[in-house]
Amino acid sequence: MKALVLNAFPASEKHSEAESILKSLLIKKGWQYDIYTLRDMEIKPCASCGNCAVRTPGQCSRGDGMKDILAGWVRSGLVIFLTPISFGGYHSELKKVIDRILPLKNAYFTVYRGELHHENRYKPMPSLLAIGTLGEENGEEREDFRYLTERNAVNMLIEDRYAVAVITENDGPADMEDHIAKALEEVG
Amino acid sequence: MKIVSLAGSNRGEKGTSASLVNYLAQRLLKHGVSVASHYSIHMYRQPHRIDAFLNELKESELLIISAPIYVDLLPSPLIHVLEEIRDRMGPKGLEGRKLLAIIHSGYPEPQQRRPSLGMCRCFGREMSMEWWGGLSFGGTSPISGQPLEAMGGMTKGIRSVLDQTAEKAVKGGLTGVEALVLQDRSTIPVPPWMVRLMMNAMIRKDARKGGVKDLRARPFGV
Repeated sequence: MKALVLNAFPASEKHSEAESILKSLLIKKGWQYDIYTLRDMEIKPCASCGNCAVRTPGQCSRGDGMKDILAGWVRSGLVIFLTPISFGGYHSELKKVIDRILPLKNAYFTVYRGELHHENRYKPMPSLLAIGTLGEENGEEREDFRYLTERNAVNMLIEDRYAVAVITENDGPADMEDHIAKALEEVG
Repeated sequence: MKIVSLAGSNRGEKGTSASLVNYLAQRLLKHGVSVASHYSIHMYRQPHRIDAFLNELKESELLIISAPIYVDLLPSPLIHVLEEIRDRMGPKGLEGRKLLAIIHSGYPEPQQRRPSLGMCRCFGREMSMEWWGGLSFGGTSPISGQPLEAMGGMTKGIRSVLDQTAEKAVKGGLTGVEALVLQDRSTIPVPPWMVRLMMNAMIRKDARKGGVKDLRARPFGV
């Protein structure tokens, strides 16, 4: 099985060792992985043009590193976000990638769990693991981050194939490993 | 009262976020209050523009964020601007200022807008601002950057909420609240299954007209 890892940590990230912990856990589980370090990539913001839905179905008209990420996304069994938690959500560095995943949906609507959503263009879509880092503990941001990941899972029509790990400033490497391993167990 | 607005659509002045906040600004102007308009996409593309925005923000009493949902959350350039505000002004940099959020999406269900409203509230808390609550609007895709009045009866409910909000803001009727959402309105009065049928028929027709053969194409081949 293959995992796609989107690392949105800035160069100053205090919990940067989370990436190496994640890599060793994936290896232990026998997963292959591709890691994209987003701060080193030039990814433009979504043009909000709608072309990927109706004019050039499944293809984004912006030429940049997103094409590789999208191709990797649909060939993976698991997508993993590594992100600082910004105001209970994803860091802008990660969000610029997520804003651009619309080519993975098609223009047609479906009703899923009683809500309107776009159909998935590729089936099955990979499971989702969101690993977020917080400064000090903040219950509201922790819960908002979990809820956002749940909403992504609903949007991607992947049932309950998602998990969340939150790392705070009090967590040492052993705690980090424990949180990430438990979350990986849930989805992997 | 000094008010600053921040529209978060990547379409800038042409987006529905601008339509909504412009309507509110016009209503506020009728009460003698003007709103300074800013757009996150311009600040993202030209980072020097954030300086003027921050200067106005320091002098303001109320910040209005108006934004669409891109894949369940605020668009990246808007989050980037909020992170810049936090990093440059510090956690108490906007202490005592008020924050109102207008979040909209094409989807009618309010839960689809909740993470974005939550993000705005968390931003306000982190900046020690007073949360005045969120306005949540669904079914806004047909607006597509047009003035709300031009949409006739379809936007009547939304305009009514914005009219009330302008009046309350000026007359002191808005205060700090714990609630995430003050009001939720959708322009879509029919159930999701019916929307699906109607929208999919329209999409098929448009595709035929545009000469697009396969809307379910899989360019990555899997």
